[in-house]
Amino acid sequence: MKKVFEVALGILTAIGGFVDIGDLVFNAQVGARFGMSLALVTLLGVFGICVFAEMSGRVAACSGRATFDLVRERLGPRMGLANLVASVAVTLLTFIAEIGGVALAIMLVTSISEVLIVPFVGLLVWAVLWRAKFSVMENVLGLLGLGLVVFTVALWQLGPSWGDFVSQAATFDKPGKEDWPTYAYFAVGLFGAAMTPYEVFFFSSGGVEEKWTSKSLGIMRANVLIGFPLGGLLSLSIAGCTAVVLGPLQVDVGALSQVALPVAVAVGKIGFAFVIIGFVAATFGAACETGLSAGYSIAQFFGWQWGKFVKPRQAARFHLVLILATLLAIGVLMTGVDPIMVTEISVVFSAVALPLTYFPILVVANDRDYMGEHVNKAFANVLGTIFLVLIVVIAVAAIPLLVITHMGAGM
Amino acid sequence: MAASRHGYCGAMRRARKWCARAGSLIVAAGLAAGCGTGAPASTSAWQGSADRTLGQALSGLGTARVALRLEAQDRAPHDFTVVTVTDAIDTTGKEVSGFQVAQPPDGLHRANAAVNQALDDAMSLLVDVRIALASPGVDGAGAGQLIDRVDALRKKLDDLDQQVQSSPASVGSP
Repeated sequence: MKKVFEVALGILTAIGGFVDIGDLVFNAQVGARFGMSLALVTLLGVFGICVFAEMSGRVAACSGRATFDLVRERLGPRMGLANLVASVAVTLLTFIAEIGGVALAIMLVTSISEVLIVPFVGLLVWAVLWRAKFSVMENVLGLLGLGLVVFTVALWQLGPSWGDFVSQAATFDKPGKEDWPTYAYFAVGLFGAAMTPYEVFFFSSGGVEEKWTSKSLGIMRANVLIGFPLGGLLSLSIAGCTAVVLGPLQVDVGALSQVALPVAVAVGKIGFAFVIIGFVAATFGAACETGLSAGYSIAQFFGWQWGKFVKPRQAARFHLVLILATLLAIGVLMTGVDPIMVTEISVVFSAVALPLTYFPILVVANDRDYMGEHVNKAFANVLGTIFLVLIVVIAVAAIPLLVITHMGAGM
Repeated sequence: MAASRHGYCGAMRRARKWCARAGSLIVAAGLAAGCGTGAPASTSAWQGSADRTLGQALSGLGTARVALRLEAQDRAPHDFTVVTVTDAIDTTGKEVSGFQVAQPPDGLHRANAAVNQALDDAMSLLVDVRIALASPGVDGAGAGQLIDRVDALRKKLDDLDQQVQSSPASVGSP
């Protein structure tokens, strides 16, 4: 019974934890502008994150060490450093976006400017990272993040033409008014949002925090293979809701308030309450995950003691990184920069950094010294290689598309 | 010690050289992209910019329309609808001010003035909606009137956008 509960809890937190500010904004934008014509990209991204999260979880369970703990040892300091710089830069950018996202979500119900809310959110995130138990943090925020399931309920209530949705998804065609580069830009963004690098840092390091062993592989796979796809369903629901309510009005989603509109239209005030709880929990949870991921990567690279499974005094440098990252995020957001713009940039730069994140995972998962009998089999290698090629193409295309489409505004 | 000091100085020189090259490249790219002020845009660039800005105004008005409906039907908290329209004003205002300070092509001053007028109308209507929502709030009839104004202006902006794309020189002609 305890085992079943553990699996169910893991799946629920994976669903609630999958959606972050990048998914909220990008899926809503895509739904309003392109309908469901990019749904296959979301599914592809979910499939990709499942492939690599399973690999990194397996590495953590079999070796007792997080994937990036092994990167420097396996690939040498130069490759490790390139990996560290790219992934930490993107993770910090995402961390800033998530803290901004929490502030924006609170602003929706308080009307207080997000700049005034940011310091309190930063302080609260730091307090949770400092004091809260890893499992409590993960489970409470993951479960509250399930409030976003209201998007699926809202979509059902809105009663779209399901046949149209399927045909849009299957034809993979852009609406007449949009141009192909902008369509490609949003495809890259959706893929980047689904495969954000911090998700695998957090997943593998979290496995070490929770003391996974090779006996935990079943639980880990259930979390990945059920939780992430159901999280992907939430992403599609968000896109579906904005496609129905905002698409016909030619609304271009540029604020978090617009993401919540379809739920209020379909479900009213109760639905709105759920959506706000979901926004706050999902962005706060992702802020904790990205903050920890930044600390994990730096501490693991330099060989410092890390993690919440030891007392803060024993992992002083790890906690110092968390404090500095929080101060940096607060400082950047206090300049008045638009958190949604930071989100869009972080999602696109995530796409750029993807090869540096996922290539080492594939290498380490193929190392019999670390993995023993659980080393990658041919099927995992074929999938990993296909995705790696796709990731490289997307990484190369991301920046040129960002420039020529004016960040998706159109050519 | 001397060798490591020499290596350090060499690395610093190389880093400075790289910074100088990167700086020159950024300046050159900026100049090439037309960062200099006052130069008129090409017709196609102006059309693209007008399309984006009119699209943003349509988006802002569309958002305001949904917020008005929610407020009239009491389906969302009052503060939320006000924040939503304020966000729409902020986002639309940034795009509109960016468009209005740019120099239009020489042959399209009249078209540019017509687009600017339509954008000003959109901004004023968004502000009217926000004021009505924020204080004293709107009932069904008040929301209905504002929604009618929003719809009429959205149609006007949509028509204008199509004209800007198909025959920009005819925009704003008597």
